[in-house]
Amino acid sequence: MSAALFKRTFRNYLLLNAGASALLFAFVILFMFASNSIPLEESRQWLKLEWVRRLINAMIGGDVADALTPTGVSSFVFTHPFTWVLIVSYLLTTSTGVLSAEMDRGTMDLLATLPISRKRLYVSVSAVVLVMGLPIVWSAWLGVFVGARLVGVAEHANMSRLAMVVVNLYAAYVCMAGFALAVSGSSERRGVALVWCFLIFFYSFILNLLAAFWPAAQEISFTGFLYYYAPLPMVLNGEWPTKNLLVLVGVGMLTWGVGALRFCRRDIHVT
Amino acid sequence: MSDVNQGLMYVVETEKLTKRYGAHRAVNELALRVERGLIFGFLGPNGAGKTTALRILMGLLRPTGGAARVLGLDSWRDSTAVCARVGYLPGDVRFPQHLTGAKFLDFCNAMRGGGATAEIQRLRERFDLNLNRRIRDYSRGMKQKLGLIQALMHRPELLILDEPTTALDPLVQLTLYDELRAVVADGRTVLFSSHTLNEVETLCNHVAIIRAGRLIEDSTIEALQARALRRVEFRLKAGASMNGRPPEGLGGLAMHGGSGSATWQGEIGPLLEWFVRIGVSDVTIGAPDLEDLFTTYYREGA
Repeated sequence: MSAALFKRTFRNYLLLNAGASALLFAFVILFMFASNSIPLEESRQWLKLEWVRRLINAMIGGDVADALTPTGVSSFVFTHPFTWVLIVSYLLTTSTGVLSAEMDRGTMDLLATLPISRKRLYVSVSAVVLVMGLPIVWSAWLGVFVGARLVGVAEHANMSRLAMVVVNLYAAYVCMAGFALAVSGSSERRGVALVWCFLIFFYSFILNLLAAFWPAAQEISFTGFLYYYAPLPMVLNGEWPTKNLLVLVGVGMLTWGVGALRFCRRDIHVT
Repeated sequence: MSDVNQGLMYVVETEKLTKRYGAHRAVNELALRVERGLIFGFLGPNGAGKTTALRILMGLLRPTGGAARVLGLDSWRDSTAVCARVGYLPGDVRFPQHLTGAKFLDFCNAMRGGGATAEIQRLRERFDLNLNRRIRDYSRGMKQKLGLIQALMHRPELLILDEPTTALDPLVQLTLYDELRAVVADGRTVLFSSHTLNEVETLCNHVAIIRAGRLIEDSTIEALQARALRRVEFRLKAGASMNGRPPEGLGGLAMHGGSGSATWQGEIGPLLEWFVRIGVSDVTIGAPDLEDLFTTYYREGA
């Protein structure tokens, strides 16, 4: 790995990372206030609607009826669409920004003719993407930690079990990052890389949603990465989803490795 | 300067170097040899394959066929080692816009292991470039200067410059010429592509011309000048006449009363002898016109 390239890339995205982390942190605190303000009975009324229940079940990976505890409700924040949109947007911006955008802008010409191998270049920028995912996912946990204290449910929120959810979320991030870096390293144009990443993430989200209502989609739901992200069972049982973590990290590493091979062997054209 | 490969005669050597894009051959069995210690001009019309060839040398493109060696190293397999010893300026140089010139050069210096701070400062003064401004605020000429500084700053054994004088004003061009002459005086080598024939003529020791991916000329400037046409104008003495056969090399002879014009190719001795023989009162012999020669090369088979 190149320390100089790591530092430069890290600095490039530091502000964006800080902004995204702060935004997620603030959102989670707001979510804590909002969820605490809804009476439990009202929530139960909503959950009597089958489609609402199925929808939430699909998102949290378990039966929502078991989740109406402060820790369970807090775990919703890790599956909330806003959280995903923020994480995916951030990931797409950074992972496509470090390789395909360098080619798109033409700055790769200078970068790739500095004495650093393509492999080291790929590893260095990948390390930045992975390291910078940590503040993002932990900012959600920190938001719950602070929010629970502000709304007065701190003693009922099991933060260590929510930390397990964060680990699962980070594994999902690694999976997405692996794919995004592979696509980015293979594309001349940032727009193309963005479209491919968006399509694959969109596929997973839609599949996860359809699987809640349609048995045929359920049959193939294992092909989407969200199948391996189930916060609720962790929160309820406190058991590590080892298989899910291995699949997410494994797929992430595999696609990342394919991307590394492709990036090391490809031409870098004038764009 | 590294002593590694000091004994190497050719710093760049390609054999049947080919780069195909589908059916199109951007570079077609190119055989190029660049001797150490020269300023080597690489010419050709747009789309001839100059930039593609230079990008192959820098390991940005993988050859489809043949081989390219730079400083004795394989340009693709050993591209990291090649890049450590070569300074490169892309044809359309682009930078991270948010950095200042100084930050960008610091980054390049760090990536090259450091030690170039003094040289960066010297080059900054030579090219009169404000490094404290953000690159997004630079003019095109300033960006070109920055690109040149990053190519020169680590005192590379070989400089590969793709149209280096683009966007530079004439004074900065002269500064660049001085720098390039200093590079070769130091035993290092410069390979650059250009469209400016005057620049090639005044600066280069050796010229290669490429057209449709193929090398069509590889020669010293002196040899090319000997083959280039000179424009000749003369006035016959009163009563003199054009007796005898004109010497070989004289072409396009046209007489208008007592004055004549023609072109001449080759050593000028036989031409002067002929003028003495026929008796002329005034003669003007122009410098060898490489532009005509190059234009011929560019057009042939076009």
